[in-house]
Amino acid sequence: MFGPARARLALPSSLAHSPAPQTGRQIDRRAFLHGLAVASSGLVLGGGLTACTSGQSSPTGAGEPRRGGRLRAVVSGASSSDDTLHPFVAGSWGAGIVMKNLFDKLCAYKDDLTVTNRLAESIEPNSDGSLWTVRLRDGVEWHDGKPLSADDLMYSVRYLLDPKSSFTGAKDLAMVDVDGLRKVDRRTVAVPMRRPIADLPSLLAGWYVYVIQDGTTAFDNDHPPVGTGPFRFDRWSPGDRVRLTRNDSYWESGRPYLDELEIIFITKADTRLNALLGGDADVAHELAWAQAAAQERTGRVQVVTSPVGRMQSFNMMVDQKPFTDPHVREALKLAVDRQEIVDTAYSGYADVGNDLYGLGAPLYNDDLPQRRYDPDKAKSLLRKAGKERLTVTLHTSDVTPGMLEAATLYAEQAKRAGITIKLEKSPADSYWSEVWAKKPFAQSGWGNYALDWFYGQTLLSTSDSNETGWRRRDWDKRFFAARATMDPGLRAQRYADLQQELWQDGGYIIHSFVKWIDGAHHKVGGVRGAPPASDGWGSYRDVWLGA
Amino acid sequence: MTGHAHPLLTACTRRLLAAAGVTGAATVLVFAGTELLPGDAAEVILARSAGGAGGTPEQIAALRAELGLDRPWAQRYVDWLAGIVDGDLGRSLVSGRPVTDIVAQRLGNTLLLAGLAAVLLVPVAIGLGVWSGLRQGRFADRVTSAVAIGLQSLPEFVAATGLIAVFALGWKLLPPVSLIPDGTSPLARPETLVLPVASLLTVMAGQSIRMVRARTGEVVRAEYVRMARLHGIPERRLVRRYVVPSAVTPALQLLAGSISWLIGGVVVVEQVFAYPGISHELVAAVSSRDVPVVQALATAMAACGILVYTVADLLAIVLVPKLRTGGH
Repeated sequence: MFGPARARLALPSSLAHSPAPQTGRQIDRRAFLHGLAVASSGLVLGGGLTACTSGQSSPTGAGEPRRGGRLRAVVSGASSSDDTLHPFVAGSWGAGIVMKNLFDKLCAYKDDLTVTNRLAESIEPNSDGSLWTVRLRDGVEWHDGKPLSADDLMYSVRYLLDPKSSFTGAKDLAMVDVDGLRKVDRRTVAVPMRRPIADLPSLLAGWYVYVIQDGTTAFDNDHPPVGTGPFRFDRWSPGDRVRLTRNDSYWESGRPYLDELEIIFITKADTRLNALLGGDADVAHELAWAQAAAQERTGRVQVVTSPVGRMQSFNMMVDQKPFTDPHVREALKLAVDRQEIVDTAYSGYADVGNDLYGLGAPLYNDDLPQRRYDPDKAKSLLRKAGKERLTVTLHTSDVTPGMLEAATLYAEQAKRAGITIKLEKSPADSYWSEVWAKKPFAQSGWGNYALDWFYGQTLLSTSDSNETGWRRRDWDKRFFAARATMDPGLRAQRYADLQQELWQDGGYIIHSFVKWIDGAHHKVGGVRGAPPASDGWGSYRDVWLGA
Repeated sequence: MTGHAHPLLTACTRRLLAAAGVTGAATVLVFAGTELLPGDAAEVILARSAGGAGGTPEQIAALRAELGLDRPWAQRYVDWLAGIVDGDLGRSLVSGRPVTDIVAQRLGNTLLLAGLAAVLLVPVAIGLGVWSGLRQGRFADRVTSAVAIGLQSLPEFVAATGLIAVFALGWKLLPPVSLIPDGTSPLARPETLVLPVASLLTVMAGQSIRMVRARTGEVVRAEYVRMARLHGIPERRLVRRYVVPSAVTPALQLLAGSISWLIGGVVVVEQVFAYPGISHELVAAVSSRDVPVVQALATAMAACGILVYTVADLLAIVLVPKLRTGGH
């Protein structure tokens, strides 16, 4: 048909996104999906071995770090009507990249999801975690030349937590007692807590928690954002691109290397790859898995993958029938062949999940046995519960790549356990508002950060995003106790117990952690795979353009 | 208007009035349709973020009141209409930016892309259609028809992907994406227009060629053409004088139909090439229930579609005198 295998490079991912058939034809579909993955790996010609680079810089043709040049990065973004430059609102991946290059946080996640200080020189608790003291670095300047001070930090915390604004990021810091904020000196702020917490930095490193300049409320072309970050704001074309230029007085010496950074929003993964291959971009973020496999083989571009992935789950609401029955929950957890989902839906670019959040993060419980695909055991559990020939409806949608495929595979796998999973597909535009966290059996995916952050968002009786209906007062109490435990060993033990209960009894079937894949030209240096929630993903302060 | 208006003028006026009426009806339908979708902008704004979490009922109610979504929809429609009359399309519910800013340039880009495809479609369809129709049943006609049917059955994204694979990634003749910096016209980088226009033509030409070909076949076999042949009128003149005019007039309507079908194709092609048109805006606005933006874009698209049909109708009236007296 077309010339050498290149036709495969631009295989539209939409091919794999047709509505899932409800009956009979699922076998063909599964074979087709499988075939798709195999074809994309088998059909590609070309030499060039690219080592699988996970979490480290790949050897490139970029040479030693050097200054200068304009780098163009493509990333999925927002449309011009819902695009924003407001750091507390910017939720899309593209807007997130813009923010992390314009602004700084007090501290940030490293690639291994531990936390390192950025604008903060120190973040220290008192003996019981009820009062934290943040001391800022000396000599940091805003883009307009003003020095960074405690006033800026006080303002940022108050503005983020202002109940009138209802910013999403406010939920992460709900334990902060805003009224009690106190300025100690020019660089130091005392931050009291409503509830004691042993690890505040892991929350301060959250997606939205940027330090902004005292008194700023508007961020657009008329009110250019002023940050402390490695790049200054130049121009914004909503829904299209943002142009940034080098901040010559950045506090990290010698950084950044680039003169200019242009972040361009492109919705489709295939189109992002085409932009990279065609020379219209130097870096393409979030490549599709099947295509990434092909690109790794041809070696035309660098391909880097994140060391930890994004959690993908089927969510049972434990307070709704039939999921109130622990036998049913266990059977459904045993009826999923995780490895097949990883190999087929994600072309192998994922780790198998064990129904727990935070794989690869500190405090994650590695000691629990990995749940395996065991349809026979699932069958006997259901027999014991008198629920043979169980039929459940799984709500799915094409909201994130791979979600529909995972649901389709699961429905097929569960048949061997005698379970009928009916797939109910909703339109992507109403899934999050109408289906998710409302229907008893649905799907979601979350960025992989600190356990504290996720538990506060989804597993407390009071959590807004309690998508598994997990409301246990006793578990809440133990969580608050664990979160306030200052002794690291004891804290790890308490978190392990909390996870033991979730693993045994919870409503999450966390089947995989999907890796993020970025591609870059060989002349680009300093690109590495990093978790999307971390500081490293999409940070351009360490990236240079080779000669 | 006088009582003795020129019949042509009357016919044209009627058509234009009807077109305006249909456009008005379309705006009501779009507004009502957006209302029928589950959820509204307030819920979407509160549910949408990387860490996704919905708002509390109180927050949603407060935001609804702030956005004016708590008023009955008929009242909101009337307000919107009043705004249109003043040339004010309102503001996006999501970002608060004026809708005119969001729509203006991108709509121009989309019209440029669709316009180029349409302008090129007409000669291609008529030329190849007539040529093939005159050779009905012969080898050349069979090949043309087979290729036309084949192309017509391709989805746009497959055609686009094939073209990208061959001309952009294979031979590196043309850019595989149409990235055009904000504020510059695509005409400043004409090479970025080639593949999107070619993708649209690839899919649309097949259908149009077959329409014209079928019509030509009918005319060629018609009584009066056979009589003309028997009178020894040269074939070339016959085609120019009789076949082309009578084949093209009805084909105009059909072409108009395929040009409004082009709007659907443009949406797909814009996404594949990341072309800065309105389709991404429209999709995003529908999913975030951003009613003012949806209204503006859908109305513009409906108006364009209706305009094309009306122009085709008027051309037919001018070309075929019989139609002017219709209804008298």
